[in-house]
Amino acid sequence: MATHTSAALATDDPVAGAGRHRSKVKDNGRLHRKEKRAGWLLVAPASLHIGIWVGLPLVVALILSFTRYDIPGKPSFRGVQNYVEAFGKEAFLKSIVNTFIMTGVAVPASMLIAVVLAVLLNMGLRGQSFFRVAIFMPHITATVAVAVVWLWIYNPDETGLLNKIIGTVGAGPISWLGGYDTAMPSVIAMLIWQGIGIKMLIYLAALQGLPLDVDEAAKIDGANAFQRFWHIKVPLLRPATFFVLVTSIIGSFQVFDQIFILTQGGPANATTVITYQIYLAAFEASRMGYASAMSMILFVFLIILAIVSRKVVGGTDAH
Amino acid sequence: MRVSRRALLAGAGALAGGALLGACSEDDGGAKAGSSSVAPGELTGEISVLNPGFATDDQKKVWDQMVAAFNKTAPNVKVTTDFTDYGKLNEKITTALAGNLVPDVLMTGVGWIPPFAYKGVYAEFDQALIEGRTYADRVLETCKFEDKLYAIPFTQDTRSLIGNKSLWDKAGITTPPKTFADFRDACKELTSGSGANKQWGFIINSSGSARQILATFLGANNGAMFSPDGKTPLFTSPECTEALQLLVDIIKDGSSSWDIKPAEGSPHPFLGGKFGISFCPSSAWPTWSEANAELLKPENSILFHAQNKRESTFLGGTMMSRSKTSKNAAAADEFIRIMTDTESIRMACESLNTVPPLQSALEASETLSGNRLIKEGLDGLQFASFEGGSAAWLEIRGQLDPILEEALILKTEVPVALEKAQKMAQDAIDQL
Repeated sequence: MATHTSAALATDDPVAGAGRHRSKVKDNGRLHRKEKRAGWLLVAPASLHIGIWVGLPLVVALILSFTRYDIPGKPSFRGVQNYVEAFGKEAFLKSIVNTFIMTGVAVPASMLIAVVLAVLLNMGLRGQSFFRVAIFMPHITATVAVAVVWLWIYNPDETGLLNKIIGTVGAGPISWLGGYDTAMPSVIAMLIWQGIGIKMLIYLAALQGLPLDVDEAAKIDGANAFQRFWHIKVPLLRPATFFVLVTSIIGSFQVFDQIFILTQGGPANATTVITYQIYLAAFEASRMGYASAMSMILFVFLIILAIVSRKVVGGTDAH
Repeated sequence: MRVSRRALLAGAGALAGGALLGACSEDDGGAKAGSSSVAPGELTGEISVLNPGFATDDQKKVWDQMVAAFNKTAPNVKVTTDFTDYGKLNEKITTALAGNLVPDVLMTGVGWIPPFAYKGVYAEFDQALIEGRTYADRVLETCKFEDKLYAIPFTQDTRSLIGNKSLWDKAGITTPPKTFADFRDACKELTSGSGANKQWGFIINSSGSARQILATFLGANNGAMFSPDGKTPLFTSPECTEALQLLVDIIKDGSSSWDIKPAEGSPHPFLGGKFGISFCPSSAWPTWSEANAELLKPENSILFHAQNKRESTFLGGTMMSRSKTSKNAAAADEFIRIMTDTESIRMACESLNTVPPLQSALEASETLSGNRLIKEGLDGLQFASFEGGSAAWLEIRGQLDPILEEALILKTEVPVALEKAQKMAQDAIDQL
């Protein structure tokens, strides 16, 4: 808009200038509308996709959460009873606590390990391509396969890898997934291991996009490696950290396969999570209304956590 | 055209409502199954079967042979089988119900019949369908809801107790315990040592879930999980309290631990010779005899049943039901009739290593009659105990295990855990 005004002022004839200005504004308006239309057209497929496959199910889930919908029955309005029931059930409350513990431990731990690994693998070490692939492998391996391997690692008898290791010092065997106190840490350890790969990759990409001059200037000023990492790289990695944090929290809140295969939420609900409770309500008890209410509670938790993460990390703005 | 946010939401809501109503329409035209008068050779069309067994390729081949045998009688009926496993079965049925695409024939387990019969998913069978067949009363009981027949037994799984004879001899135990007190004492006597060399009296968590283990001992105490009409849970009954207390006491004595259980891919712990007593599933024969054939010989192990007020063995199994909304009910009924006859059951049980619900199938098979666990399982059907018995069972069972486990890992006292179970079950029943 500023250029249009300058063009009009540059002319000697104010009337002609005004006319040209009007015509240019008209042309630009038309162009602007065209651009707008093109913009809408470009985002239409994605919007349609999100609208149909995300928006609509969300609305349906919200509506269902206020109904009693026990398959194969018909939905009937139940008000907020599903929500009251959920918050009155010990198993669901336990699943919320477990999900928060799992997220609170697994996400920061895997992020920390991932950023350290990314820095190490960005230093031009020998064989770094191999290590990058090796660390990323768990992410692209099917969860079922990963869980089966971890089942063997955690085998409660002497054949389990962990029990073999502790057996060398005369300890064990321990029922890692069967013990009330050991089940949750065991699951968290697996989640950390599985989550490192993708986080490391994002941090690695972000590190490679950082301006070298700032780092070099700090080096000339006498900053050591840790100071440069902590005071330069970490702040500059803030957009990547925000992205990793939000996606990791969402991923951690949606953990299901691992729990389903490793522990089925047990023993005594020691490892049950919100998604597992939703599964039980929907596909064991066929109570879709109640399951939808729990899904909406999960959704609200994720929205709140995303907002809090943005406030804490500072969003996608590196500066 | 400008579309306001409110209009968009209203539209989405209407669409959702429409989708819901559409999904909920149902065909309620199910006639009493097994009452068709059409000759099998004249039956036509297609039937679909949801089958949670027959997981391996060899087992699928046997199933195909059974279907081929059916097609000799009804050549114009095309059978399509959807193979799944018990872990995914309920998920499959739920989505099928939501989409109004329920298979004509559903194969489900013990405990599933009352919920699905109550919900109107299963059609009632005419008794004529099983005319001339002799089933154990307890087996037929698992197929009924409100005294009506909704399923036909296909194959059974039983779980006896097995004792390691050499450990029994060392402990001076000569006969299987006949009361809970004797059982607890035997477990104590069979326990010795410590650390990695510990010999355990009983491996409680050796087969099945906590609720199935409780069902076995509850049956031995002449108790049940629900009242006969399935409307009142009986978890706080003296019979149930005593049964769970026995298991907890055995753990408190140090004769067992809930943490010890079979490991994925490893031989069953009982086969290592460090456990005096274990549960023994009837289907364990091939894997157990491969790992320790010696121990399975009658001179080295004792098969017996939990006992206090009566003998009790756990009963599971697969039965066949017909969907109430089947469009080809006559063909589905004929299919079920043939698939549950002696010859089909023999083939299925030989392939799956399961107990035939008909004595005639055992007599017709050398493989089955030569299998000690299956023979014992069939003998035990008369005093079988099973889980479920309420229309709300599918909601209750997933919540029951963690509550029972709280007691079994000694985090909660037995009466507290059972109070919790009672309330949870009653709430679920009240929701019906």
